[in-house]
Amino acid sequence: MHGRNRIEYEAKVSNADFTKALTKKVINYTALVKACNARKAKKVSDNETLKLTGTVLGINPDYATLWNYRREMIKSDSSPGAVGTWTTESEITNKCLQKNPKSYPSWFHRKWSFLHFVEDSNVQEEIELTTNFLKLDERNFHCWNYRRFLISQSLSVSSLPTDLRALLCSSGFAPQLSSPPPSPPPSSSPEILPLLQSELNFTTHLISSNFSNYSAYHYRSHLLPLILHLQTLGQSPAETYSAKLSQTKEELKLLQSAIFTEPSDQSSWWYYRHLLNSSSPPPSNSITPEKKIYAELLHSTTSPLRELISLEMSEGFTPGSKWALNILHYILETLDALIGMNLGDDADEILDMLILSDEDKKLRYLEIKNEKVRKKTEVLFVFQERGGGGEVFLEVRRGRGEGPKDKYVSWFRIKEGKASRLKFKSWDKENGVRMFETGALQVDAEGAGWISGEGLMELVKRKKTDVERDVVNECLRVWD
Amino acid sequence: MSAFASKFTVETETTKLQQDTEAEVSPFFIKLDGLNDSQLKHLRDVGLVNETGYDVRLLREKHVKYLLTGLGNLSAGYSSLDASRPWIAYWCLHSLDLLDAVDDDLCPRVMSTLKSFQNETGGFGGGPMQLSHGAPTYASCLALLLVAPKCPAAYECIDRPALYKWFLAMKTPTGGFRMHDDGEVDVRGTYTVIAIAALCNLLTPELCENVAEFTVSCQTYEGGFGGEPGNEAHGGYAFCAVAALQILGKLDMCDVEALKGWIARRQMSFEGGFQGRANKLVDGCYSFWQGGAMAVVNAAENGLSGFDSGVEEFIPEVDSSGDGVDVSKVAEATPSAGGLTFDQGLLQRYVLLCGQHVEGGLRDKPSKMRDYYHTCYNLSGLSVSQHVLSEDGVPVVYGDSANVIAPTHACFNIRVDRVKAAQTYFKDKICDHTELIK
Repeated sequence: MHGRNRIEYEAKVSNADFTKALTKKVINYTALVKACNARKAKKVSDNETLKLTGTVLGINPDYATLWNYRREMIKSDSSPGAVGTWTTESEITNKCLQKNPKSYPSWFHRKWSFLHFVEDSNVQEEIELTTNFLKLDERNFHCWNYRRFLISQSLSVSSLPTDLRALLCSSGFAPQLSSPPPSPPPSSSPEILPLLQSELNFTTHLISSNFSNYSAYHYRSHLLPLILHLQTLGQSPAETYSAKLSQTKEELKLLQSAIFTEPSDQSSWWYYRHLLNSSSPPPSNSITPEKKIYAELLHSTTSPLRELISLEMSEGFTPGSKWALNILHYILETLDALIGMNLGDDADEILDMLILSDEDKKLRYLEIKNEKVRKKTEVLFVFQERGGGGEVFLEVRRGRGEGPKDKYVSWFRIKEGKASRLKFKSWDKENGVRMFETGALQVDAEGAGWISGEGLMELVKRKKTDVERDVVNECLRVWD
Repeated sequence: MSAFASKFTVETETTKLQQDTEAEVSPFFIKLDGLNDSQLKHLRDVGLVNETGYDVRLLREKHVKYLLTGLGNLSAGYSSLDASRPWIAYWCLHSLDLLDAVDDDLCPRVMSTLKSFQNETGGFGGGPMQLSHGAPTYASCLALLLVAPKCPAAYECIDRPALYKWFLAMKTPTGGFRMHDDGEVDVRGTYTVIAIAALCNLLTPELCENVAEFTVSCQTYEGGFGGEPGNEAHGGYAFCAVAALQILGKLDMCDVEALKGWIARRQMSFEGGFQGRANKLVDGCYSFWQGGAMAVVNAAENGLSGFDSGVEEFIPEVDSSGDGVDVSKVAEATPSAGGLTFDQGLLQRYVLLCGQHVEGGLRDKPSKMRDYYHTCYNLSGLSVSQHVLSEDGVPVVYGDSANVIAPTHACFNIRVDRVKAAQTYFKDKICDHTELIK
């Protein structure tokens, strides 16, 4: 099963004494299960039976039925110490979790016992327990889960106002779902913010010792919005947004050290992207103050990124540079979309570097490049040879209107599927004549014509939408 | 082949483990036509390479042999699975079914054993006298449904009304289902209930209320799904969530783009197999959890509903030489082959070269033991990547063309024809809440 090393196990199993001992264990186990079932059928409830179930569970922690039996026994007699106490239940779950730290029913039983024996269990000690289990396996989600449950206990989540409770629950700080004994009313109002902040510090500590601790990043992704919410209660949307950006700035600082130390580790980059994403301003048609400060923030991240890229690329293309390039491109695109900061050439240069540094995804980057151009490409006019001869003349606009016009608007002649660019010379607007190096295009109310050394070719106007995509692509291809 | 893993500036536990894994896996990616004669002969002798070429082979006969032992007496080491006996039955039977090797004489045993795990109050436990639990219920029903086409009495082994009542008893107001009475609530509960309810025609509006909402609340910022709200994204739970949503017809309630990106990023660029979560190691079982999840997403994108498998009719022509497999028509597993948004060829390469144990059975990775669970999910992943959304129903196959196995249904993980048969059998049965709870 999961986690068992083959070489070690195969060596063990070939040892006759080991298999003999194991078989004996199983015979013993089967007898114990039989005994438990017999008592369960008679609904026996005493300490001896409790011990018996404990022995079986110590061998097979996943035997959910017996965990249930234990709970039934404990519930059937509530006189103190009758059957089962916090001590017995924490001991047995501890033993089982040492054996299998990923056993669902064992964690569940500990949760249940914590609530049932709430006067005897100690929340701080339990949190300490999770810290220790996380030292053994920092990605154990059962353990993280239990920790979040404990935090929710400290916060008395069930007695909080509805929306705050819902917010905390959706981040995993949920009280037990079955009907536990009611938690005692808090003697003083719980200090939510300091507790969440101390959890944040805990994850900072974990991340600083292992940048790849994704579970810690995940936890932060929930803690940060909760903390922000509590810090900005009652503030205006503008103030809240400004606070959000400050939080993001601080978080980026922390991330910066992870990224600069180990740029090839993708986890920090995805979290980075999430941070930027989650701080984006409310959408609107105009350029709002929020959009401006967000753009400033984005812009401020670009120079450290460029620094990192040149550092990484001083040794040739590395995966570290790839992630940085990707994010930089994303940021530039966002800035463009947000405030119309036209960084077209810059973004394209980055795509070119990506094509070189991330060969596996070359086609994807080319696609992005083409996509951008295609999105902004528009056919302005199209004429076709009268009589369906097939030659087509079209005017195409690609990209935005910046710089010399012929960089982004041009005429093309399509002959037998091949496109050639017409070099523009002048436009006599009054007479509707456009002069090109190879001929003149005349357009008036009646129709159009192409006048060249070959004579006059009569043209008819066609609809822009009649032009096939391939034709446009062909024009773009031969443009430069 | 890039080997950037060794260039980490700062070593952590995580980076060391990843480097070790890449080192462990790398010797299996040898170029077969570069081996000397005796090395090649050895590989051919054990059956890993075909006789007249340089293609890697699926060790069908050895896997079948290994799987049949799983249905017999198990050694002492399996005591930890005493509460999961239906799982063992399902893992072995489904794997055998993918290899077209389920003998008719297994049916009576399957029925009598699993019936003894069913409780009067509905649902199946992990063994006799055990509490009904979502996982053994799921596994028991799937095992019965996959043998049922050959012995229809198996359909009637499932006590439908009791099962429905038990599903309702596990339902909580949040929309999640408990795994067992007084047990934990997570997205496995959602999937095990919804999948079986769908197959047995028990999906009532009452059962499904709020279920999609709970499931969607488990999606994380990365795009994948955790087991419970607040948990980090994880392959097993992602599959459960995605399949459940697709069966309910509500996949678009979640952020599908983010989900797709997350699953795609879980394919390891060096090993070719999938990892369960970011910064963790490749594992053969994720071939199905992640590969299957992506197949479900792609099927939905193609406008298919939960019951549509995305597999075009596969009618294996029995080869008269006794092999039983139509070897004539397969598509080569080039990087862009197939309709799924991951590299299907590389996944198959991982399963065949690193997942297979030379004496039968499949495993997590070469340094791990083979077991029935990994055999089941490695083969299921192989099947998905061969068949789902393959053009014109021509399977995409890495290695020997005889490596084609039967197509599994990505939402339910039993064969497509078994799903169809169950649908036909249960379609006229009562599916009304008021009637069922009488």
